[in-house]
Amino acid sequence: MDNHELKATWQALERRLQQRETIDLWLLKDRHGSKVRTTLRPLLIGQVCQILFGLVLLLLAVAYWKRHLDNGVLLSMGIILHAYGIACIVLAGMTIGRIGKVDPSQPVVVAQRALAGLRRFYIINGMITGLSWWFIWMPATTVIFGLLGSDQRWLSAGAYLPGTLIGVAGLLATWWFHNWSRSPERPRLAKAVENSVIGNSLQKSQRMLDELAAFERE
Amino acid sequence: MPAWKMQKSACQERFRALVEQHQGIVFKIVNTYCFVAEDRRDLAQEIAVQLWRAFPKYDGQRSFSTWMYRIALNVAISQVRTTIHRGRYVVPLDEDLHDRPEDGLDAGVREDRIRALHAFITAQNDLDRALLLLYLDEHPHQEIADILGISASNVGTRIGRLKQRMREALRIPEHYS
Repeated sequence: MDNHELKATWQALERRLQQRETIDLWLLKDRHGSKVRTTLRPLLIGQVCQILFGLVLLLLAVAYWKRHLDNGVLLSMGIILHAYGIACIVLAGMTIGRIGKVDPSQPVVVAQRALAGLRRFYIINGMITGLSWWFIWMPATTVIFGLLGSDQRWLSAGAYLPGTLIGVAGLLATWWFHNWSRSPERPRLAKAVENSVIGNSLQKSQRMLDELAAFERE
Repeated sequence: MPAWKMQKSACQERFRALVEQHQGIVFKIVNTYCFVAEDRRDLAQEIAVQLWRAFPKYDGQRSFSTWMYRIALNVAISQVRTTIHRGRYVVPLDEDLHDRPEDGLDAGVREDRIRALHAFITAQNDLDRALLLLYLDEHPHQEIADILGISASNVGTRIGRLKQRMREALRIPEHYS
């Protein structure tokens, strides 16, 4: 098939595809109820909530460690929660910064790279802030119960050892479940995990970034 | 009518006129990326919404079709990657739709070519599909480069490779020749 024939075939294909239906684009802009939305607003709302959550933890942590400057263990618990609150705020702020860089009127490669980068960062953000709860529950409960007036003078570093071991076991169990669920022997579970936030989205977003980089190379 | 309302109305009219003038771009992209009626309708709606949202920032000095291609392709690629299942891609061309024969070709040959081209397009990845669409629509390399965000020389190289693959994929069965 020569070039002329190819273009003629394309025009024939195009005509055929356009016969399928006619859509009034002008009316579609106001139509509601579509199943899909590529807008990033829900993600933005989620990140604002994360900032507020981080701020609450930070304020609680500061109020707590200021009262326990003389007790190394309790002071450490407050400071750990303080650091976690800051991490929540910083990661959400960085995600919002990336959302702001996504502009669909940019060239395809630029916009898709920004989206893939955002997706990758969002997943890393979720992993850091989510998985750390295997350990953060200890300073969080210590701070909350401490602020509620519970007697914590008996708490020593050793008191947190069982919790730390549970955290390590939990992390290992999460990692094991993640690998186990992706086995080809369990296709339905593998599909469900893949479609979830934690699934292989990180690999997927990295693959998208690699595809874009390859497309840019001559 | 207050000035702001008049301004909004004028903006809406301008947008409507431009979209009507270039709506073929959206249909081409929708048809190239979705092969299920429900997906096509959803994608067309999403593109319309995103075009309207982005319109206030559109620079009237620049080409509207380039701007529209960028948004429509970005929305299509994002939607295909996140929402539309890969398994839904491969849907045969409607049997009952036929175009008018204008090229004097045997109907069987033309049918085979159309099907082969359709199959070739559906087999491409999202980015190559965009490139192929723009090439088949006879856009200059520089304009394709502006839409996709790669260099014009890269466009030339990639189109050369696509053409080579197309030549191999679009071989017509011997019994028609």
